Amino acid sequence: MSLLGEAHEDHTEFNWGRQTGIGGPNKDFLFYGSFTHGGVEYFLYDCVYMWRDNELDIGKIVKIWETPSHSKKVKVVWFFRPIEIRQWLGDVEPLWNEIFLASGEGNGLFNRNPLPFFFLPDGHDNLRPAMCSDLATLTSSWRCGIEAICGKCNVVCTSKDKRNPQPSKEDLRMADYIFNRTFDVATCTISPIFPDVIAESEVKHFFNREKGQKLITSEGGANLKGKIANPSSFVKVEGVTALRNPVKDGKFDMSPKPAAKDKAEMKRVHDLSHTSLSDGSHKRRRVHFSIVDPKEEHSSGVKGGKSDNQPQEITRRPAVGGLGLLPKEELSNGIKGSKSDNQPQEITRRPAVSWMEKLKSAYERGTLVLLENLDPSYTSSEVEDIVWSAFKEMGEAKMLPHCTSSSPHHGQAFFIFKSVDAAERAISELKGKCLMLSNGRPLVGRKGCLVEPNNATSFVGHIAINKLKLQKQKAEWKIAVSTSHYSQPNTIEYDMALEWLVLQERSKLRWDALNKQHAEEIELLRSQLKTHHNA
Amino acid sequence: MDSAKAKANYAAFEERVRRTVYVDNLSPQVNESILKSAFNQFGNVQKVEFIPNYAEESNMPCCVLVEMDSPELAKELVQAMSNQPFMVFGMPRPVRVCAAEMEMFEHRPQKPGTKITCLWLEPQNPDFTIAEKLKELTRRHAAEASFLLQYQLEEEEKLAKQQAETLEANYKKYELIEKVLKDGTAKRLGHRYGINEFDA
Repeated sequence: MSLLGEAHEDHTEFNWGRQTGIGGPNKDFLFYGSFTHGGVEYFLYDCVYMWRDNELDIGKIVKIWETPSHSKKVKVVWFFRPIEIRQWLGDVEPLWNEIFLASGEGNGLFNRNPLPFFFLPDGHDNLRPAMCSDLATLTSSWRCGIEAICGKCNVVCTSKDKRNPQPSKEDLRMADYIFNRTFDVATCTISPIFPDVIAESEVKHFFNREKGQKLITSEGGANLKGKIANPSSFVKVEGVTALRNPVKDGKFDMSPKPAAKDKAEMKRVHDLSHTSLSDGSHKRRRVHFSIVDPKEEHSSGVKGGKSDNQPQEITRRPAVGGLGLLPKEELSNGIKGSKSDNQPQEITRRPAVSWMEKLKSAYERGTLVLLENLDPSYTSSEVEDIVWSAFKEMGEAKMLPHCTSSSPHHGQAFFIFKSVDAAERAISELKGKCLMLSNGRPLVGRKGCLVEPNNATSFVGHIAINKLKLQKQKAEWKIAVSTSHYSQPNTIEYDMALEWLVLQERSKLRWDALNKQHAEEIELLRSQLKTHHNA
Repeated sequence: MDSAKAKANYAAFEERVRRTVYVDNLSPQVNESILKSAFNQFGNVQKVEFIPNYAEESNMPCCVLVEMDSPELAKELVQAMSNQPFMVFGMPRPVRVCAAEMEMFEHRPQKPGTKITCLWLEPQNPDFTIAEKLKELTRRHAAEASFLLQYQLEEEEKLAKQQAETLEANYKKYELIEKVLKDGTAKRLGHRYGINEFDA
């Protein structure tokens, strides 16, 4: 897939960074992972100062995109200052530099608000009082044009959540702000618990970055704590491609894109995105770019400072009012899509259950054949190809997955022929003549047989004291037994476990010896092959 | 086939394999959520995949592929669990953990760039006899392997029975002692013989 131009030069020194994808109804939304504005490079998940209505707010960029009309947009998740939510703080005493992460879905009664929340003319003011008094105007994230961004901010998460890498003292000292609680805009409650998904973005993006993990682009990402958003481009990074209908018409369109499209886009974006993405934090790197004409000239990367120049296009009002609408479907689409998106799509196939049924029916009909002496690294599709080219028969193959007790020298596969005759013929041919595969392996086939899986209720090796079974009705007992745990050295359990380990070791040695012997025998014979088959 | 794409797929798959651990000796009653919560203690579990057991004995222990977040985590797990017994869903048989291999995955992509050839050998071909021998060998190996497997299963059953008996016996002893202490028999006997420790 060809990537479109990465840099869009314009008079405000704006450059796109690495493009990470394409989306939108006509595939004309471009998603990016970073951009440069005013000489400062901003990355996805940076924390930035946003200029809004004579006031600086702090937000975290979660999406960067460019619309087909070349308007650059970002989606930003809010951090609330204590003063903004003082109504709900109650007894909670925040620290002097503490802020709160916005989470949850806003009431989103934006349609009550007649004015569109981004591309708003400057006349739309008084958002702050509105937020305090009108629940409906709370939002957790908002989209805006890039020019509202005016600098990076260093925000550190001090939450004790186990998903959050703890900051060092140095980090804390250097931080502009810290946060360890969220403010849910839907319920207007403060809580130290972080939900798994905030504004369609996985919560780990809001935690501190782990040391050493790279961001979308390599350098500049060192500032792992609160990345400051790039003022110039609005990044809207979220799985949910809520980018359709750019806000041009002023309506906050959060309509969820159809899931299929999501998946397709995500797949595409995934293909495009660099695999330099670290494993951890950037699972959902689907950055959709929507480029808004940056009229803003002055969004200099003022570090932590207020921007003196009034950006003209501050029409993007971070409608602090309830627009953080994330329809549940979008959320689940995003999550679903991203989960499958992370792996190459080709691998996920039918679940094994249907295979069991197929095998059973084939076994009953007599079309099941067990092929042996295959190279263990073959895949099922290769086996199908082999049968096709050798017997001119179509069918379905399934390589048996390897486990510790399978021989490393040869693999087995089930093959379901289309008809009983074909199966019989194949077997007799394999017996009579010789089908030599590469590597000097003659294919062996025989009638496949299937073992009925019985749902064993007892497992060899798991012991329970019968008398205690009555006592075990108590909940704690159940929990105690079913929790998976390491065995402690001072228990009987430990001694018994060691006995099992010894047994395992012994059997492993036996298998090793057997395999070695097999290998020798095979080698002996193979070396006698006169004609050379492909190694 | 788009070979660049195939290569990328394969590389991604390899990376996945590195992140995955193979867990053996699981009770058939274990399900995905149990495993997830078990392994979530160490790190984020991305995926749990059961390896279905088609051709072997039906009461063999189950095996599972657990995909973690990073290869380092996977390696750590393998090391830790090989040294210390880890129980999942029951005691005292510990699970066995080792690094996953490509062949363990049921659905895996083809290795790009491999070509397989096949050739029908006629009886006149000098290699025919060798090939026949190889076929025989394969069959014999399969038989030997299944025999060894049977033997292993029998051994495991023996050990389990033995442990169960020991445990029962020990438990009976404990019960006996408790009973005696509780109903005062110990105290009375103690008085008789001049041992007064049971007066507690």
